[in-house]
Amino acid sequence: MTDPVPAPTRRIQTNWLFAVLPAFPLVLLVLRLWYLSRQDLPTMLLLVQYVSPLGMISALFITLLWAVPAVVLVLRCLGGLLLISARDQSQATRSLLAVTALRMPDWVVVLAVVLGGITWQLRFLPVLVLLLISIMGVTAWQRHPDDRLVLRIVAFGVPVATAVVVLLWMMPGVVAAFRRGEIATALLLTMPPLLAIGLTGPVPVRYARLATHWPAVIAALIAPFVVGVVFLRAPILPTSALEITAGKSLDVLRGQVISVDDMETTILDREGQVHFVPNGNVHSRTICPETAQAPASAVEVRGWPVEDSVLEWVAPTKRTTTADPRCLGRPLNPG
Amino acid sequence: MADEQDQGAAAPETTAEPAADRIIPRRDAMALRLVALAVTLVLAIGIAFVVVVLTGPPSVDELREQAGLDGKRELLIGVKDDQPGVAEYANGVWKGFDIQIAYMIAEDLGFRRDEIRFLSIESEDRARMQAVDSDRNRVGVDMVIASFSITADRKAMAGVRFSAPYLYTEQSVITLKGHSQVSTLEDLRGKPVCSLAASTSASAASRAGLVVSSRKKISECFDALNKGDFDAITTDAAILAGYKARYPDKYDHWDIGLDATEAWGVNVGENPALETLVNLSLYRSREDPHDNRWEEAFDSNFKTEEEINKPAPIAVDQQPAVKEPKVRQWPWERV
Repeated sequence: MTDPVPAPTRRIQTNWLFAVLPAFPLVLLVLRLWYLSRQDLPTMLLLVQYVSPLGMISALFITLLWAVPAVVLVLRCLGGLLLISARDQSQATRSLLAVTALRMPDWVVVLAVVLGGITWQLRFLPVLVLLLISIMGVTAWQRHPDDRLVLRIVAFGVPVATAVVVLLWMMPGVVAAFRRGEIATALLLTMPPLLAIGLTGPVPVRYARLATHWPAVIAALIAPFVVGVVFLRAPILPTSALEITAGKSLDVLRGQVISVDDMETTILDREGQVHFVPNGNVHSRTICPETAQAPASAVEVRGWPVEDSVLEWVAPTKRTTTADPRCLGRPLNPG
Repeated sequence: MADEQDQGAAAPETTAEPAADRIIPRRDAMALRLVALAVTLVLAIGIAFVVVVLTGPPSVDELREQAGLDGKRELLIGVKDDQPGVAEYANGVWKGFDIQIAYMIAEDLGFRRDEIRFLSIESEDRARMQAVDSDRNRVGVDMVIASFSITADRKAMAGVRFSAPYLYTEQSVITLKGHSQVSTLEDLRGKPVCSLAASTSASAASRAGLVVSSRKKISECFDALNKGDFDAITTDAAILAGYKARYPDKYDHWDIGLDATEAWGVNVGENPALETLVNLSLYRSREDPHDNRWEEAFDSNFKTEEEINKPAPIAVDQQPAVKEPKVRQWPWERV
């Protein structure tokens, strides 16, 4: 009888993780083109030929910037909870989650919170508060397990005070959300600061691994899908409308311009068809707004729309109110 | 929850080799934290589902596409052509309240005035949305705005889908000048009365014991009244008021004291997306203080007829309430 094959060590597992991680954005970029080409390989190859990788990486970066603080803070929070709940550290550090949390420098957490504060929509900021409060409480238990005053202040006083402040500030938005029947928005604005009070210390050791390690594993499995869906929905080419001369009349072709050279304009229409239009036939061209990106929620908190991040809220916005007729498929001059 | 106990009162499940003065977490506090963690995880899954899968209501662009308006060169609207003040075609020009409401809705749908085509429609064809063009050809229209009252029976008819109401009026009676006073429909019991085919007024008159004859157009009723074929005409006050205003010395307009409200709506046929868009236009017109298009339509058509029609009613001078349609909009588009 042969000896059982030993399980791979953590170092080997980590090496594999580092090997696989860079492949993920690449897979996302290729998937995005495949999705845009409506699963048609020749169209996808045409897109690969013309679509700028830098442009796509920029789109990926801008669209998914919010995910970085989410991953960092959830890992730190759940790992920290596992560490302080464990019977002894040597047992706890058998978990990759706990080790990641243990080795994560504080400045990374601070940077992640700042990045989250800037890039997360207002409706998710209470979740950011929850993660921050929980990490602070857990860190206090890790570093000052013998200081009753520190624990009382950091793990109880601060969370309660923060919850009161956040709820008071969010209250108009919560009322508006309930009035409009947006329960998910109302829960997002109210629940995290309240729950944060209960996430600042150890949980029973018997359930610690179940309550921290496995949710992290499930989140790690689900996260690529969420990230993928979010990225696949994001536009990577601008939507344009072209007036094209067809005999004596004008036709309007709408879609995404793939390329313009000295001979023709290549455009991918909404049905996934590629059109090569001789430049001489292009009468006019305009860029069309992406109204699909308009917020689903109408709730505002003190004038701040819940689906705007700080960055979006303070930055100037182009307000398109009247649609160009060409974007609706009609020539600019009806005559 | 930071109120924990000293090691001396250690719970059995706590640390095996803790620091000498480490504070031991209380079991009930730990249990509460476990519950908080569980609630947080459940909430996180629920919210992730709502945010990623249930992406909220459709945008105006998506609705336009679903409604089949995308790329449409001309919007066909069925209207009446012989109702002064409501909808009239004279000297090559369409005018009246319904026409102005049609322009308002079409404009909000993205059509310019040159891209709207009005077609004359008879009362019995309003449910089928079959109008007649200048060559007497039957043409299907995109919507009907033709003094069409919303009733439960009509809603139940195949191919009828009403928008929110855009005008409240009531039934009244018109007679030739010098007719004895008409205070109720019963005053005309047993007398020949004209009404529009397939109209709500005809059935109310029949129930009151009037000898009702129907005509396809209200102008045919007036021709017959002028010839003495009928004692009176009964239909919506807003329609009769236009004739009274035009021929003040020829007709008497009577309030017959019916409490039933005639609510005029737009028939969009089997097109729920178009219904939402029409309702959005009506909602914005009612709720936006800067949008006076409805008020201007009322003032320029019905308000000017009020004096001459007194004491007979015409219509309620406020736009009926419209429930906010669920549409994804930019914050600056909301009213």
